[in-house]
Amino acid sequence: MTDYRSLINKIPYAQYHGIVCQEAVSGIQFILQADERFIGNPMIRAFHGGVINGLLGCSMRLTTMHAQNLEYPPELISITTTFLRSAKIENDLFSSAKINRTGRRVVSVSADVWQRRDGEELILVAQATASLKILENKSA
Amino acid sequence: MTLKQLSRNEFREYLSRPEFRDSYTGLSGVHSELGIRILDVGEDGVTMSFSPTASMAGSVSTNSCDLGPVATVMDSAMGMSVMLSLEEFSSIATLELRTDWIENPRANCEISVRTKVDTVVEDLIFVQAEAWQEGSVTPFCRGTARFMLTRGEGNLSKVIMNAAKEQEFPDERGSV
Repeated sequence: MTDYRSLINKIPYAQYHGIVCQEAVSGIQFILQADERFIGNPMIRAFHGGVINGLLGCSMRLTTMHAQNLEYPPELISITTTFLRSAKIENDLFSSAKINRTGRRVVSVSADVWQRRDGEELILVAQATASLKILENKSA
Repeated sequence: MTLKQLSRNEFREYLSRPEFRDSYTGLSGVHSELGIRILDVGEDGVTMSFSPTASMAGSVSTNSCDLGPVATVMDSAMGMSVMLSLEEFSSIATLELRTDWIENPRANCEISVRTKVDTVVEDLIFVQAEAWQEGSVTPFCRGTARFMLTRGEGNLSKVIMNAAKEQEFPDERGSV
């Protein structure tokens, strides 16, 4: 059984923000629990775009680390995030990533962030694509 | 007086005041958590900084700051520079943010972000940003973003205006 806590522990920022992960049908799902400290705009009480960006980054790097059996999360080369709607601070954020192509040194990944509103189905909040750099040997 | 009546120069002057710079850090949860500070408010951009802590590291292998805090400061700084570039105030929304990582930032070293409004095309504003650390010749990260004017007076601009009213920001018309 996969020890997802050890995965999160590889990124102190993810640990600090209380990001947790669980197994989902589509792979690993990352959850950022709603918290007032993530508010970017106090008038609309929404998650800050940078926090959403951080969740997407963690989701992509940890998914790649897990899939590639790496000892450490790969480094970021570039990430492009499209914000589709504001994410209300009252509800948790969910993210999952998909590896599009794996090269010897570079991995292309994409990820989504969703939010559940008023008990309805998950709605898409943001999408990102990134290039990641693999630095080191795979873990034993 | 509404925010739309505040001229761009008045707004810039207000943002340059030490009391606003002090209050900006506590403006929202994220600003407080990161301790974001305004260093400079210029004609077409702003400079902000924060001091990353060990808990903001992006990997236990490097201990350098994660994407999240850097992207947060970039987004905030770019948003403010957009507001400074407008002839008439409007609420704004970030449509897209791209960051290119040239190298890992050094651990436990202050990070500064400077922004520049690149192009304004009707309701679209293109902005650039650079993040660097003291002692470095080149930035460790470059960012570009697209913002959309949502043509409201609400959101962050309202918060800033409320703060301005509380501090009795005077204008040429003698009202507050």
